[in-house]
Amino acid sequence: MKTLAFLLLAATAFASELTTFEKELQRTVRRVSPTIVAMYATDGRGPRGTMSVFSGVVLDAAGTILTGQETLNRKWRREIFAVYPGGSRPVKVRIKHKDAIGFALLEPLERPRPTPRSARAITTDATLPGTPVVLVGAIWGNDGFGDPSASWGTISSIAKDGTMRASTRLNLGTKGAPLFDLKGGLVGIALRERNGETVVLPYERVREKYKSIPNTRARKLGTGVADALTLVVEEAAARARHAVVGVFAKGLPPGSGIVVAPGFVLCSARSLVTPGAARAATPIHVRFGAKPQAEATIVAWDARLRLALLKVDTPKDCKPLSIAPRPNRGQFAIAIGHPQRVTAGIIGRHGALRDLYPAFDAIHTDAHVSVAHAGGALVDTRGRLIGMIMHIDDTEKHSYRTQKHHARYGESTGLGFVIPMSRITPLLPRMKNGIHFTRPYLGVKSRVHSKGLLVEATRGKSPSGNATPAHTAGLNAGDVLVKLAGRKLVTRHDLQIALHEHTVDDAVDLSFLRDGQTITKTVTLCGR
Amino acid sequence: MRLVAGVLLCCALGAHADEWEDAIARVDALQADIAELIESVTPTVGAVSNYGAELDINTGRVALKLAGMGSGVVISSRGLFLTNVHVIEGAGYLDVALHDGVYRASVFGDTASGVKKGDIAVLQLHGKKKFAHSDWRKGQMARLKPGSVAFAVGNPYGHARDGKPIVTMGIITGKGRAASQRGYLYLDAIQTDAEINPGNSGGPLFDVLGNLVGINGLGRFRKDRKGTGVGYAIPIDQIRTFLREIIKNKGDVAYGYHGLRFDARIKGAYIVRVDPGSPGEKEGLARRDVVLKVNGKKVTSPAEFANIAGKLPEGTVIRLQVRTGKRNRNVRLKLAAAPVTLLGKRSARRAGEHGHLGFWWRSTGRGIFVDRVLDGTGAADAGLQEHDELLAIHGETVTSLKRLRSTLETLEPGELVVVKVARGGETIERVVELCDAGRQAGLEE
Repeated sequence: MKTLAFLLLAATAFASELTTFEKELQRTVRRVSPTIVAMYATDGRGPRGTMSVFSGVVLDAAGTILTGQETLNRKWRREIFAVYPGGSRPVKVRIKHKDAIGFALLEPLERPRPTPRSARAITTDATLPGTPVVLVGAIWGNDGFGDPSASWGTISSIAKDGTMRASTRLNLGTKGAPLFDLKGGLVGIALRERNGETVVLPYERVREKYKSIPNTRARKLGTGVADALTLVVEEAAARARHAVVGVFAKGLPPGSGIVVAPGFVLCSARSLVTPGAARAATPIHVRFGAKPQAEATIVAWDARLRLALLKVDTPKDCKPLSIAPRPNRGQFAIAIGHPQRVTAGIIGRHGALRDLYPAFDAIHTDAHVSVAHAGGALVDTRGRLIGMIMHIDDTEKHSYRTQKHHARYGESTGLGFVIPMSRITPLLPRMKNGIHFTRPYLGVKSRVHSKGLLVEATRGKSPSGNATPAHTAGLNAGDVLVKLAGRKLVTRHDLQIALHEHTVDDAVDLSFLRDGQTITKTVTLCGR
Repeated sequence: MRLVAGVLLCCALGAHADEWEDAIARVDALQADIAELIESVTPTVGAVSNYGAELDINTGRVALKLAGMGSGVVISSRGLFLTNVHVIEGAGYLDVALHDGVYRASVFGDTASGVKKGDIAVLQLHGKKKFAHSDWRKGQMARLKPGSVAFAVGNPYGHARDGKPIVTMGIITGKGRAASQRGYLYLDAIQTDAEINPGNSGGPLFDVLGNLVGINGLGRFRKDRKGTGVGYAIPIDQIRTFLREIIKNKGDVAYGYHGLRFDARIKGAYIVRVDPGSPGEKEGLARRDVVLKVNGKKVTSPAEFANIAGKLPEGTVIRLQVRTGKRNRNVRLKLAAAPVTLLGKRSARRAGEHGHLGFWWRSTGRGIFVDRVLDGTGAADAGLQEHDELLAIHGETVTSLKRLRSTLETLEPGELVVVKVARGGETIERVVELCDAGRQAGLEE
């Protein structure tokens, strides 16, 4: 008896919020898995014929299944089978009702045994962008349907046509699968994937069209960890959304921007970083929420970080966000893009690679961020701004003008890079006054040496005709660069970082070795 | 009336604010737990870089080209490192970047083929006496259920190659999955939706207690290798079975082979073929037999059979209950090593494994001249200098690049060779110890 009490005590002592959170998630998945049905439609020709696989959810004790209508619209379809949970063999089902808004209701031709569990639907007025959801479906693998697979994401946005977008991903077999909130309440079904997101039809839209299915219940948030997380993520998204705007320029894909000060918007500007490109892109339009577009002008850009500061009339209720302190690894982060894309994840790493230009000190997150999020905000659980979302995609080079790009416009690789505000804030005062930041040019060809960087060759004039710092300092081949602007130079990447921290016309100290002597000279950095 | 409504509204807002206060406190605590867990496990995770050394015959420079990259986890204080075979495939020079530096790694044991089928590879790290490690004995598979939280730590796209791994969080989507890619077969694998991208391979999967529960190896990728939210990890119990054998045998352990072939379309574990000469044939199993139980567990499909019997090392004995015709009988089958054709041949001798002279050269019409002697090599010790003209190596005249190449191909690192050079009209002979191309000759930019 005493050992039992001791063990119980020990167990509670070790129960952290994380283990509690895990238990809650496990319970939710356990509760909803018995409502998932794996289905396949065949053309009647047996194993050698055509087959499509999809999922659905059970709504009542009779075994009525709700699924997406798309996969049923195949001319070759003759028979549909459903594998009810716990059942040993597939049951033939037929279509009870099909609707153009995207859903279908199926009923079994024989009573499924054992009696399947029904899902409990909740009203969706409680689900906001940011609500964490779990997609549970039957993924089709080499060995047929396995146990239901669960993956989580967030409700990313609510579209005008009444559907929602979620940041979960559809895999083979999960079309038509249901999405639940973290408490196990049915929110809707997955219709298809579009731009890297799942299009979700809310259960309420289904019930509007077909009354003979169970009604929804209001969502009740309890005091568990999952409830707390749901509430906090929704609240953070609600607090920060007003500060994220849409930026539209000719010839560029729609992007996002952040209000950093009254009248100023910061946006991602991969190509707007030369005078010619800036001219070609005007007029630039900024959209605040659902309001009509306002015209903006480019005040300054940073060619190293590839962002631009725009001047635009910001509405009175559009206050800039407060800045978050330096985030820790493992902290939750919410990515917000325009018009309404909200995804969540954790901070994977702070301080990116030395040789990953220009993301030297970028923050990494696994919240799904895509090209649409570029220029948007990453906020913490209190809605404070962590940084601006960049989009660095290592898997392909984006071509903004091709069809191919637009097809992949929304997709995420699962790896997002964010420029921390600590890097951006010092630049703003100068940028507001119209000072551009461009990559400085040293005019030196160097290679790694045991004592620093050995100068192999120097250039007196930059390609655009400016006198280079190498020329002003009187550098010769054979000198060894030791320090630039206070940064010790060990590899060429250190040189890149040192240059990256400064801009054209900055005066910096350059130290180098010549004939055993260290010489320090102050040079003015020039542009390319 | 308005006053009442106003008061009610304030109460509601106040209640909402209180709700939020409680919620944010819980989420802060949750974040603190996650941060603590991450900080305790990330020092054991490393980024693996697999370099191939290419000798440029015109200059003698050795370029280290990144041939592969991945992740892995340190599992013993002596420096044993767990990763995937496909990360170290064609193992050239392996570098593992941990949080406190880059360590040279070599394949553990005598042979280099690794456990190809199951994708488990063990490396030995060099350079430190004690390493921070994750205990591979602690992870419990029974704890993991669908909905369990898992953390994948690794080096996606090489972004952690400086030794600071990247963490992604997700849930366990399922267990007991089978997946295969490029000849590697994962059986009884854990499926997770933590983001697994190219580069995460070989990296660990941790549960909420910070225990190692899997090694991430396979992700379902879309075009251009984007992750899709479906990743597979080798479970720790499977790894444990093999690790014990690998450490005991100091090297290679093969997956067990039984030689039974099934048809997935027929109900039950129905044998359609038994490979000739296999353990299955030796025990008298034949076509039309149905396997009912493996090691006491009922199996109703070939997939279930593979999940139990396909992931065991060679030499393991499995107990089968088989129905032949109308009778049931019990069979004890000892798994053999798979035939060589299944495992693949050992990779050919890697480039750069040849000995390197320790200096770079330039080839002109008049001969081959030393361009630069590299620090710390046998050539530097022997006193070779810039502008020396190369005449002979190891007794062979090497006045053309073709002769030089064919001579170098026969030499190994560490060999002592006599190098004959001409300097200022004199002929000088020196004994030079050849160095390892990748380690000493290829590291300068």
